[in-house]
Amino acid sequence: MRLLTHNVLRCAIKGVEEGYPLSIEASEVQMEESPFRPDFVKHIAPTLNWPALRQAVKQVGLPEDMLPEAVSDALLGDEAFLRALHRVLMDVHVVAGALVCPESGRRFPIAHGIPDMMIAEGECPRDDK
Amino acid sequence: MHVPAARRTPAIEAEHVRAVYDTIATHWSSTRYKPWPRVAEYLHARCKSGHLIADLGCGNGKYLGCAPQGVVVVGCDASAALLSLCSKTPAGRAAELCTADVVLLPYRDGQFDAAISIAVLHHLSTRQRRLAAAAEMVRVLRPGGTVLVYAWAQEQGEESSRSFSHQDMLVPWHFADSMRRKSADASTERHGGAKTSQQPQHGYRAEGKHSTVFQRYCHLFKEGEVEALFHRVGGCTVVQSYYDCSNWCAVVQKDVADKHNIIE
Repeated sequence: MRLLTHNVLRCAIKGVEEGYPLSIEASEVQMEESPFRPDFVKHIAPTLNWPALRQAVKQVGLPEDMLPEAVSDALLGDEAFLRALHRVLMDVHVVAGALVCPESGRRFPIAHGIPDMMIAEGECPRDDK
Repeated sequence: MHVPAARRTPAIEAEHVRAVYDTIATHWSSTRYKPWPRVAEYLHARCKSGHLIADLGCGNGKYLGCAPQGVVVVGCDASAALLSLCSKTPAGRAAELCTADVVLLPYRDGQFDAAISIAVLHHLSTRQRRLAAAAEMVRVLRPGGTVLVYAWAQEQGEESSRSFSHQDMLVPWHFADSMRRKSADASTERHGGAKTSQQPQHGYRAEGKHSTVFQRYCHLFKEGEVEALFHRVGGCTVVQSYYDCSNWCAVVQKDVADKHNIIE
């Protein structure tokens, strides 16, 4: 699971309002360099939840100052920033561990890089919001 | 708005969809390796470098490699056995994967530029569940984003050897004994020998054929039914619909004025 995916994932069980952002408890993290695609990073940056991404960076053990506190249009023209963001989003893989819902404490295990987000029978919300 | 038990997995799907796919995954996958050309064409037409794409019910991952370069595909499926086959391919390793249920997707609203859901809706056994899944597909799209949906058709074309007398059917799968061994090995590898996936209870021996028959539940779609489903969901527009490879197919676009997706 890349941090890009983590930024999208939420807990959808019964009684949970946002279920976001999920805390990462990583027992195995791999770094794997991938080709830098500035267009990808520029496209995705505006939709990212920035506090969730900063929290994820910290939780996988990367330096907190790897990303600035906020993202701005000016930064999207800064190659050093785009490279750092690309690295965070695409090159960090949580191979084993768990994602934990901040509201319910529900744990979603991650094995072989695949989070198990399946919801058990008793956890299904009955009403659509 | 109330969705009566739409999110709960009915017993028929637990036994006749999930347990069957978890059991026949390797065998099924060996017969489903070739992408349907029009699905691949859609991915090429809709995906631009920088896009985030969802494959909702990605099965063995045969479409994960069809998206152009510079795109990230997030695939999900309810079958952990099928997902583990995905991660054996280069495209599956490059993609992002999670086990998830299409009636309750674990994604934030409005994150995906485009999506596909190929041969998934027809495994949901009630209209409420098909509606819930359709609503989820629209919810996770960005405004203006599109999802390509394929659902197995009751009306079978000349190229098909099948015919369906009813809309809700159990369709037999002959699980060859020679594949059983392979699947057992894959399952042991996946769970480290500790946990085995749910086995279907209903399988029966096919006489003289060295195979066990498992029945897959399918809701066969009639012409116009996919479109009607998304029309009911609202907040989206069916921009294209057609018949291809024995499926009714639709390209559905999320409206830009982000209305609420309504289910009653």
